[in-house]
Amino acid sequence: MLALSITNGLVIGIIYALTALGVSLVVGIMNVINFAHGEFYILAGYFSYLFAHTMGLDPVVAMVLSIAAVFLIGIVVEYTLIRPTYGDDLYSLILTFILSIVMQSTFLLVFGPFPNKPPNWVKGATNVFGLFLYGNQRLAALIAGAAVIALFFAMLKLTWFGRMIRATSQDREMAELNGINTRRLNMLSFGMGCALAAAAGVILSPVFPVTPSAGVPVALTAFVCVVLGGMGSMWGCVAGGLVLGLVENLGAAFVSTGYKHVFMYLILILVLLIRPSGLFGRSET
Amino acid sequence: MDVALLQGRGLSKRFGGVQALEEVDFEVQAGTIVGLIGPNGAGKTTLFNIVAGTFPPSSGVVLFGGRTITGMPAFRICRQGIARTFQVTRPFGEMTCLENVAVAAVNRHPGCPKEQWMTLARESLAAVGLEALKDTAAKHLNVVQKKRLEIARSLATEPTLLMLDEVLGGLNTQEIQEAIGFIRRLRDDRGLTVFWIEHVMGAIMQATEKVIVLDQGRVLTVGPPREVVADERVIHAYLGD
Repeated sequence: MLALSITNGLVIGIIYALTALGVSLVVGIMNVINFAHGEFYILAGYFSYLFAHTMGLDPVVAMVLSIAAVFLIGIVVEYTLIRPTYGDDLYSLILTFILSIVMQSTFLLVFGPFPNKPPNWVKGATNVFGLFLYGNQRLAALIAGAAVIALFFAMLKLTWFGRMIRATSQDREMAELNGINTRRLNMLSFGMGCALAAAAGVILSPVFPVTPSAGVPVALTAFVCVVLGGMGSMWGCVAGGLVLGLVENLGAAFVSTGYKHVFMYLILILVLLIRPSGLFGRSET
Repeated sequence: MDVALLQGRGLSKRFGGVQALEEVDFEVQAGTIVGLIGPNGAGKTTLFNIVAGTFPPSSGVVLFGGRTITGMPAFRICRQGIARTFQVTRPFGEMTCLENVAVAAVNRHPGCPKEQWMTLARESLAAVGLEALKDTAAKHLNVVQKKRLEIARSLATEPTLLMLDEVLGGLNTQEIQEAIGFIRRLRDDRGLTVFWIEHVMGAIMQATEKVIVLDQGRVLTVGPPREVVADERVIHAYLGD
């Protein structure tokens, strides 16, 4: 029971972390809170359903295509909707909020209210350390999620694009004065933020099917992760996601599933009481 | 020596009800060190911000190498060859010194191979004597090292014009002398033009060929440092009635 809850917590936690990284990236670079983040997650789920189920593509190919498609859509959204709002954070907040409603309604129109589920990549179950049987699909989700997070951090640490992202999120004005084209960086990082949501979406949708409004709790949890980990801290995001996933599942297993979301906010309140800037946040000086 | 590398024509800047700059004309000749002085609130940093592209002027034009750069985004102005430092240093604290400088080098030559950027970054770090600290996170540097890092980062953008905003603040007498020597060598050895806001008058007297004095958003006077400090209007602006 304990081992099963921990494994469940890790799977969910990794996905939370992945989703929250996208939010954190966009907040850090652009100071924009993307309320439609959850809808991009759902959009990717629908795309992978379309590509894999309807068009009959290989599930992995479908996943990659879906992430790429959401990345491009993210870039278009930044260029057309977010770019004109720079300098006034409130506008972008309202715009992304409207976008989330529009996207939800579109999902409802196109795909209907039914849950849609892309095919599993793998079948069967594995006996984990001789403790319990666990669905291979969930294990694959855990590995894929961890791999994407590792790739993202490697990109931040080792590539020039990553260094520019780090520089810009630390001091936007100084980055620009040192020749970084922050407009282009905005566009690419918004696209990447959406792509991270999409990665989480395609990884988790075979386990939890997508519905038009399923993105709302996803985005909410992602915001909680970001605040929990500390605004602007990428590692904090991952830690926040894992903590939330574990607490939720352990709480559900040992107390009650009905209080699942209570645990999440309890943890958030506790952490903010003790460390107002989050687990890994830099305190404002 | 007569060519004006940087020119401002009728520059004005208004922030709400405050006229920060009013009809400012100035010239910085290529290959010279030009001081910009004036009492607090005179508009010195505003003038720097306009040249560097942090914000556009309300009216007027900035010419760099004879071409207008008014209202260009800051990154493009940087790529034209203008670099600036800040009074309070602003390193990318979570990154290593080498990364700090390399990020600036990359963007100056977006198309060039990676090796060239790294060479440029290492050279710039070496020029300010920080090569031993290249893998240290910038937040762990002391004040003097941070100032050096900021200059290294500016140099990595291969500027023709270097704008320094009170680099000497917080340094002791010996460090000030070293810094003055360093800045003069930048001009003598690399042919850099330096535009320099400074409150340490001794440095202005030693290093500059020309001083522009701003007071209440206007140019009070322009001239060689020795004439300027003897000017009664300048003394009056600094000390009041």
